[in-house]
Amino acid sequence: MLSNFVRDFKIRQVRPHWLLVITLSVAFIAFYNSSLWSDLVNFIIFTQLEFHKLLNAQVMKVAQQPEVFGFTLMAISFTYGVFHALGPGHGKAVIVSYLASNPQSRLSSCMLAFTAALFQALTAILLVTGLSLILKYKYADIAVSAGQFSLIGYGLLLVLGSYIALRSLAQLYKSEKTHAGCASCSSATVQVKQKSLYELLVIALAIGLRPCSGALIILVTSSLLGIYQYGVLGTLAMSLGTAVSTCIIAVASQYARVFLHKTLTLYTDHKHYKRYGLCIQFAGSIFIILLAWALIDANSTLTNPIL
Amino acid sequence: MNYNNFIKALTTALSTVLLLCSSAVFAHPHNWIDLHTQIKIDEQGRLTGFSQHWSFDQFFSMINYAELMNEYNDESIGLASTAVKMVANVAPDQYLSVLKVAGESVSLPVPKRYTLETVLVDGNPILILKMHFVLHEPLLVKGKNISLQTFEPTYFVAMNYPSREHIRIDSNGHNCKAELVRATPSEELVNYAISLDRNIRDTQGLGDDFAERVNIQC
Repeated sequence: MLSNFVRDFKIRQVRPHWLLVITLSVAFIAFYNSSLWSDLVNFIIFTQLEFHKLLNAQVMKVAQQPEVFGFTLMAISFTYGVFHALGPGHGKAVIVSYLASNPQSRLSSCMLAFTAALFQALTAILLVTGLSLILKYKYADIAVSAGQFSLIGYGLLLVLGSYIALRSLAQLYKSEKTHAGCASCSSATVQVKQKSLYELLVIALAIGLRPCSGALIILVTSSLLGIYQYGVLGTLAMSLGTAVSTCIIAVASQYARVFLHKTLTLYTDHKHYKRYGLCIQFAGSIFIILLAWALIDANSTLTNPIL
Repeated sequence: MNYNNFIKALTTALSTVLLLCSSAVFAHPHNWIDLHTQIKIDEQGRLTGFSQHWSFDQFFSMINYAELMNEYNDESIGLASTAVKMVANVAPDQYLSVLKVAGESVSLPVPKRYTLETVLVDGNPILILKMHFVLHEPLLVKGKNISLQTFEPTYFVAMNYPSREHIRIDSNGHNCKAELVRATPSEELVNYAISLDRNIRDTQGLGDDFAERVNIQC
């Protein structure tokens, strides 16, 4: 029975990646429409809001007694960072879609998480230092600039996603034509890994260009209270926290990719191994493109209509 | 067959993570206002107007207080000028209030008095905008349903009554009751508000669905 199924699978050349795409879409729609999702997001948003208030209050305490509350601010910022990274955020969506579809080592997955978090902190610090402290901009202007920075990041994502999509398509086409054996497929993998350093940097930059709201809050509040150095330290602590939990997610998605790849190629010849890898890569790049598009679409520079 | 299940489980897990990640980044609202309303009924049982206090959230208050101090170098001038700006900004939207008498909207006049004040909470200033509206004509309210909704249409700012005690009626001996009706936005709308808000045009009208309503009956 099972062997028949396996033979059918081979003969008809059923492509499991279609199954994958369909399951993914169905799961996507089902979960999006379930109340579980909104409950969870509600909870995360509520907790995040409480954290924002806590951060704000903490910065105010630091202003009164820096030596007493300075350390607590770092600790809360770090915790906020960890929690924030577990909640929703475009950075993780990008990292997950990229690492779940592109071959990367565990180390570089983690490095990606750390670099992205560091870039994010630096963007926030540069924005607030440059605009608020040097140019005396108002907070609303900073928020608008942050939106523009983010837009550049999303543009980068769109370009990168399209590049990966085209590349994987081209390689797929090539492998269909040549029926490449395993000698060439291993050399192709090596090539991909060399190029991927740039990709990793572009992704880190794309994520980092969108400053996190928590970081903006402590930076702006601390600059208003004249304890800007604590704001900068807090922002760095926050990015460290973000990096730690994003790193876990990153490694998990890298494992997921390997597992997915192995599962997909279980019933097929070894020569298809690379092809399925490319299919996963293509699917991932489409995710990145859609995500970038949604983010560009959503990047409104809404301001408070009252003031 | 087992592996098929594995793929499903895995992809579901993956897409779950993706989903959670991709949305709720731009959640509305961004600012919060605590409302306080005092409704005035005169001796003849007519609604003559109402006063409203808008207490802004800590972050908004702190930033705008610091900015007005930077700009004007004087608290009272800064607060007065900011009050003028705020009232001018909300004037085209009927001061963000919809007053209905027996289903008909009553247009609100320019507030007769308005001030922006600060209250210290934990040593930091909270901004409170106080407005006093006197209707063009007093309205006889006996036996009529009167409702007042205060909301910011794009839901950038959430405006809520912290408790029933934040609505008061100065009923001048008449037996008037105020009832607070909390908003019951559909799950879909909550999802929409907390997910990606696309642009101003799309969020316009969103505040309506989250607006609380004060019902008054005499």
